[in-house]
Amino acid sequence: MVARAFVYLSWCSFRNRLRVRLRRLKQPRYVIGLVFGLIYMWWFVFQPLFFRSSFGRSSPDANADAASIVTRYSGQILAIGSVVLFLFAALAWLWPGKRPALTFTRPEVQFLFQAPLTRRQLVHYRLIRSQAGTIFSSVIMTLLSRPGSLMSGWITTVGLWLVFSIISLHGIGVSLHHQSLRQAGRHGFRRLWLAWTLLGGSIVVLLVTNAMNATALASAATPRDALSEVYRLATTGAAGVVLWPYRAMLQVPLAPDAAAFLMALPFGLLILVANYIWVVRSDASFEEASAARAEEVATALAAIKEGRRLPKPDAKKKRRWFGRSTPSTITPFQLAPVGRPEVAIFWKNLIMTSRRFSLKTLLQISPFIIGVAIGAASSDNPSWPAITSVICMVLLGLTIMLGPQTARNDLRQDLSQLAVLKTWPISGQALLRGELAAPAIVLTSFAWLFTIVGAVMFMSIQSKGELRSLTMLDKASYGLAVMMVSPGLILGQLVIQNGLAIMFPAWVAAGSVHARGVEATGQRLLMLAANFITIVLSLLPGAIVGGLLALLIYWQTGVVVVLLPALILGLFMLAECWLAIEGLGRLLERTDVSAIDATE
Amino acid sequence: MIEVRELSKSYDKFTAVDRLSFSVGPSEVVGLIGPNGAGKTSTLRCIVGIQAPSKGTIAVGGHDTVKNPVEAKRLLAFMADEPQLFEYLTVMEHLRLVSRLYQVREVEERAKALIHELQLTGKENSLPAELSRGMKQKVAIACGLIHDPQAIIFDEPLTGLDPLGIRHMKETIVKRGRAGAAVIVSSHLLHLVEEICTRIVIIDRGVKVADGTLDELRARPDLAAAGSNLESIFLTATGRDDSRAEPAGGSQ
Repeated sequence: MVARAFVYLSWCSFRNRLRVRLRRLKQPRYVIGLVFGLIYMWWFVFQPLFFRSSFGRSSPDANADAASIVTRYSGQILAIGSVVLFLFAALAWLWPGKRPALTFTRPEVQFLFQAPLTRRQLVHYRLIRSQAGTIFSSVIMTLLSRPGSLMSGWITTVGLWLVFSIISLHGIGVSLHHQSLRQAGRHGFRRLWLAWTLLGGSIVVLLVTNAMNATALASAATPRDALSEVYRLATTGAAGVVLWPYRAMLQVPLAPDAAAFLMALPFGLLILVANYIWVVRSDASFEEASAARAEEVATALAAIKEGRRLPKPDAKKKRRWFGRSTPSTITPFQLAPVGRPEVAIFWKNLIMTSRRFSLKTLLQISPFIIGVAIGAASSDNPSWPAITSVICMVLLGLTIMLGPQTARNDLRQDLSQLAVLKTWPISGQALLRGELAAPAIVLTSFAWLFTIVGAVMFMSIQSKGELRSLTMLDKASYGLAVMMVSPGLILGQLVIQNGLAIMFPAWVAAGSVHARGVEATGQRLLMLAANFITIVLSLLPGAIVGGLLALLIYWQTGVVVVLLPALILGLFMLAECWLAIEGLGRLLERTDVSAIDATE
Repeated sequence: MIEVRELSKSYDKFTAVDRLSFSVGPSEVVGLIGPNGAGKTSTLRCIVGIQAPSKGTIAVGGHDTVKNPVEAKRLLAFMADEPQLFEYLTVMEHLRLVSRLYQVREVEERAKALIHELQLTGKENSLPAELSRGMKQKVAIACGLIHDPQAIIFDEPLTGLDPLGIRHMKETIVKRGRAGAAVIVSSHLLHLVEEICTRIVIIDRGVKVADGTLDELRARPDLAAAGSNLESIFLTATGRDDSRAEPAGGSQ
């Protein structure tokens, strides 16, 4: 009877969620998102299957698909996969994570936890609910692997379902086990001895095996030879015994035919059943942690729906952990009571950055980085400056290209609290300037730091090949050119990201809670494309003017100038940003808080 | 101080507020009451500029909230039913931030006085995560009052407060009203409204159904039979007085 109630609850939840999503399609933004999401799904998942089966085009190249690669290298995949699964399991035991073993929603906690149900029945309910996601993932992974026949498709799907189910069950089991031990206090950890012995022994076996065969692995002529050696080591001797359960699991989805599948299936099922029994027999009381987690998630969703800031659930715990009753009251600078309001928002966002992302720590180590880089430049080993220079260039690229996407200490972060921002007596333009200042200045500082260090390193090395003709002055001017362009590039992307958040607030994820579904995937793809196209378009005016000027100077004097075009490009970008902020600020004043939806 | 004229607010085809007009003068404490879904929150959000009116005008201190929002907001304070704080700013940092936004020069003195008045002493360096809900509510109120607003709007101000907190909150509201501020209190707690409000506006389905002092409402012919307390008047005005409903078929 209880199982029927669980199935009823799961079915009704699924059906009504689908209804909500369908009803959402009345809004154009979701229809557009759905169209793009479907195109994406078709293009990358279904089209290869449909294209091959409908038109029968199976050229030699087309046959070299994922399925044939899996078949050809099944032994190597089996060996590497079993080692990877072992590492995941070991990590799960060593660092079990903070999340509770079993997650429930707030209504589930409210209705099920006080119902006359046993703990085992609750575990069963959660396992039933998790099956929908496991089956869906298995089907999608099968489609992506493009099976050669219907039978191999079924083998892959069932095999993947088995592997995912075992991984999920084992993760739950580990969490429950640790929870049980925590509840038992100090004495509980004595019960860990068996697990620790098994884990420690397994690690020692694998390390010793690796050490004993290091020479053979290192002397492998080709990567394929190395993989064959790994396969041999993972399937024979003591290491073969340690990795057997993981190999047995993977043999099911990797079975080449029905006979091999039927041979492998009993062992896979045996591991599944063993994990299942371990989980349902656990004596850990997970209810308190699960209820606390459900409360956190529900509060976060309610915060978004009501236009409030997302709460930081574990702030209290962190404080206690570090043994501090009050936070550090050190602020980036003293905020004067009067002056431009933008400075107040900049100050607020800098505080957030320093308290959430440990910016202070990064700034504290930056002199060390500079010191090492300068020291390396004067060292006898010429490769050190080159390496440092390359590292700085990579970091510079990441800061400029990924920084504005990931540093969200601006309006995107505050979007969930738009209701508060709208009550402040400041113009939309001032609000936006203040919001953009913190990420722009922080990212530009990092970009300049990486440029200076990278340029210093680059100047200290003897260039080879085509770079041999570069003088010290050339190298310095390239560094300066990058420093001139980077503020505009960073601010430009930040303006685009925040502009998209203002123009399409319902399309931007507020905080860490994201919408789900095909239409949400389509929306994210569209936002990504819009960002890319806009930044390219915004670069054009400055690039054209600066480029033409550089050409003119070259024709007249024969000198290749870098700094002037860079300066023009940088100034053009900043001017465009200023104009965009003026327009977006006005738009922000008209933005309705009700336009921001709560995600599921 | 607060002038709401023919205000309408619609969400797609649904009209939450329909041609609502009322005004709140200095030293007036107006209770805005209505059943769930009556349009109270939409009205308040339009007044403070969180949402734009679909039709009609709102003026605060003579400044139109759409045409001149910055000047209108400078005079306003809005205390939402849920305290809305930045989780990474301490209590004192919240007060400094708001002071700068409203250009309050004597921030330290005012902050100290408000912290004392709202019993937040010792919590100056606490983050919101370290405060109880009632404490957070007090911080939000301190932030709202630090610039000495001339128009104050409270949405369910007693939610989450303990008995002592409730008493202090009522005193704070009355004190601000007496000091000359125009105050709107939206609440389902009719005894609170009856106790502290000088005038009452009742809205139902987005439409104003009553407006006046408690005595004026009692004297209204259509509400006179309701009784003397606000609860009975409210239920009669909104057509939800079950005890006065005709038995089925009784009027046939």
